[in-house]
Amino acid sequence: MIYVRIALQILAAVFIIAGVFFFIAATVGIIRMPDPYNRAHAAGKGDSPGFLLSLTGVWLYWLTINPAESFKILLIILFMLFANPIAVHAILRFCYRTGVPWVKETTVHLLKDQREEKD
Amino acid sequence: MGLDVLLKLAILVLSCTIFFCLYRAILGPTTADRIIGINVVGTKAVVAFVFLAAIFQKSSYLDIAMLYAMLIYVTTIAFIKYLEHRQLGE
Repeated sequence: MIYVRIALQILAAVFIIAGVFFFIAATVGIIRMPDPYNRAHAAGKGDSPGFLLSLTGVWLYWLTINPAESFKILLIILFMLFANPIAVHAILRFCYRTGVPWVKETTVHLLKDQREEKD
Repeated sequence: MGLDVLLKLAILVLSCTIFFCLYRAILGPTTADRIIGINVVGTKAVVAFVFLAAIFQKSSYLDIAMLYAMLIYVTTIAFIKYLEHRQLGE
């Protein structure tokens, strides 16, 4: 039983380190990217694996100490798994509809008709 | 109680990245940059709350983290809806 506990804690440590790495990558993307579309891309892509891995690691650690109270972390994961991509999508739609300019390297323009209709 | 040091280090690193995101949230050129910064700061704060709950082993802190996640989501959606339509109806 003690071996299972040690193995779960090592797995939890690996998950937490990976999650914090994804958060650092998201921060670098938010600071360095040139326009709001690329920044929102970095934020959405970096945050979702970050909180998934971090909270899964904390859940595994919680299982080894107090398993009866660990379901709340699963509720937080379930809520943020739906909420975070929807929020980033809403931010990008707001950018697009209010006409924020993008950098000239952006060439794919799939929603062109929608923007002209809005204008 | 093996992971306390790692969790404290993770909270320290997350706090530093929160300050870098606040740079984007305060000085961002457009409004969308500020909203992105606030959203990322909220996600990191929720994760830091869960780390604190794991350090102190109190499951009541997880309720605060859940509430903060919901609050950040509603804040982002309300900001965007107000700035796009200039009203909060429907």
